[in-house]
This record gives sequence, C-alpha cells and structure tokens, in this order.
Amino acid sequence: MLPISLIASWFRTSATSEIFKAALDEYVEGATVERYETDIQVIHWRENTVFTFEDNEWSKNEGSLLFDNRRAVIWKKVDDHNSHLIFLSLFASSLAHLTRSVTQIFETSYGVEVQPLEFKLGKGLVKCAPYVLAGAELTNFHNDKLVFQGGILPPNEDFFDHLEDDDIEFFRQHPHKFYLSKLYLRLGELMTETILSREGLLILNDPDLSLAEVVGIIYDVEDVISESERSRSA
Amino acid sequence: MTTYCKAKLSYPTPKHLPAVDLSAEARPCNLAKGSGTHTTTISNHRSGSIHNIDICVKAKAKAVILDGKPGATEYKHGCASIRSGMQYPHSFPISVNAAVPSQSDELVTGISFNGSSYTDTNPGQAESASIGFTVDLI
Repeated sequence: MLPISLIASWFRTSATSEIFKAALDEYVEGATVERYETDIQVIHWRENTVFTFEDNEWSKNEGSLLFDNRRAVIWKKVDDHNSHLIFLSLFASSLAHLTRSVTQIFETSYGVEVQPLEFKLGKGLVKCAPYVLAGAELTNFHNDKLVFQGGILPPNEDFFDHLEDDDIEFFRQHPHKFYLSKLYLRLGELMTETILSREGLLILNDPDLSLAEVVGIIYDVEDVISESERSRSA
Repeated sequence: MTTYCKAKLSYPTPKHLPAVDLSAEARPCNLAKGSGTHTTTISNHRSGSIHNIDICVKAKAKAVILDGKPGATEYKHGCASIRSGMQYPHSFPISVNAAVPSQSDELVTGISFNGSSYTDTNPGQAESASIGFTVDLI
C-alpha cells in the first residue's frame, strides 16, 4: 500500500491557463500555484488519506493509517490553441478519480474538451540518447509481450522491423509484428527510473522526487511528444 | 452524467475494465438522518486472479465524512488479490459533515489493480477506472 512511484497521465486540451486555474479552484481549496518558465503552471496540494487494510489481526489492532498524500495537476502550453494537462498522483486509484473529477469540471463548467494523449514511442525511441534507454516492452496483436532490458533492442527481423512506427493500424493489419508499448528510461538529473506507456502514462519509480525534479522530467518527456506532434502535423 | 445513489461500470459502458466489473453505492441514499454505508464491489470475471487491488473514495465537496474521520479528504482500502470468478465487496461508514453545509455531494470511487503478479521483470502498470454518484445530505 505504501507508494513506490509517482504516476502521471497526459491529456490534450484547448483550455487556457486561466481556465486551468479556475477549474482547479473549483476542485480543491487552498492549493499552491507554481510557474516554471513561461509555459508550465503547476497546482499542487496534499490529500489527507485514510488507509485501511484487509480484515486481519494487524488491522483489527492497529486500525487505519492517515497519510499525507501528494497530488498535482500541471498545465503546459503547446501552442496558442493547445495545451497538455498532466495529472499526478502517488496511487493509480487516486489518479483515476482525480482525472475523472477534474475532466468533468473542464467539460461541464467551461465547455472545454480534455482528450487522452497517446505517446508516439517509436519516434521517441529515435530521439533517446543511448544512456537514457534502459529497456522496452514490445507488444503485438497476437497479445504477445516481450520485455528487453539493458537498452538492447532485438535485431531488425520481420517481427521487429517497424519498432519506430507509431501507426497502430498498421500493426493491427500485421498482427505478428511488434510495436513499442513501453519505454523504460532514466530521466532527469537523478536518472530516475521511468516507464513511458503508449497510452499517455508516465511512471516515475521514486515517490520522493521534488516537484522541480518532476517538472524537469516532464520537460524531457514533452520533448518526445512535441517531436511526435510536429511529425504528425507535417 | 453523475448518477444518484449508486453507479456501475461494466461492459459495454465506455471506459469499462476488461472482464472486471465495478460498482459502488451508498445506503441510505439520503444521509440526513446521520450515518450510512458506502460499499464498493469488484467482480473478477477473468480467467486468473487480479492483484494489489486499491479502492479509493473521495467526497468531492468534502460534505461527507469518510470512515468517521472528519480530517480525511480521501479514503483508501487495500486488498491483496481477488480470484477468478470471485466478488470482493468492501464497506465503510459515511456521515454528513456538518462543517460543510451542502444539499448533496458526489462520492467518486476509483480502483486500481494489477492484472498479473508477474511484475519482477515487467513492472507494468496498474489498470484503473472510476465511477461517481451523488448522495443527498438534507
């Protein structure tokens, strides 16, 4: 039950920083706002979480546990019309309800859509410096999964000859071929173990990272994404 | 759109979890007379167990006290695993928070779990989902 990682999920929105601030004001009271350079705003706070466990002797004797639980939502400007919204939590279940509640506020109170963002890992792989890449998870449409660690990717054979491709429809039509479903990276000044999933999820395997360190890693990840989006719109 | 008193997430509702059903409800639905119970039920229809289950409940307006602890803003419960074909219900007490005057509140329930315990070489990521419903407080 104790946190082992920080989890972040990426969304795309047209919301301005003003809407972002107003929506989060509606969701949480007394949160702290921080700005990083000109394009990132972070609203963060702590939830007072009560933990209970299964019905066992320990729980009966010790009862529940109160835990000071970090949480944040980040707004990052992409261009004049688009921004990224990044939800951060120590637990996946908290992230699920945070994302649902805040997304609802954006959509119902401000009429702004919030769409999940997919990471283009194939293009991300091309950009990765060798010392950053710790491994990868490969998946195909036969439901096979392969995990490679130590930065060694499989040779360019028929199964693996499209790893830099992000067109999932192509893989659906060629179900034996593998695509990148996760990248295992070392990011930030502390070379934090990081898992980047195609479905827009980032897992940082260090729950004690400072907010500034997290923002630094987010800039690294955004480098990968912005390259993907430039390619897509080109 | 938020439902009233209870909510369920299962196929074919959008964002459902594959072969895992989630439901949550409050009884009574009107908490004006004092206390009630929040129950989350997870049904595992998969061929194998699911692991590291985490249930998380938050009262959006903080107008509901979770598990008798007025200072808590979020309630969490952990369970090691749910076997194939089994249902896991979990309940805890809820009551009106007189310090936050409100006619109603939305209780949002999130869950997360791992579809496999083979995590040593593949840390993977948890599957997660959330549902919400409103309760009356007057």
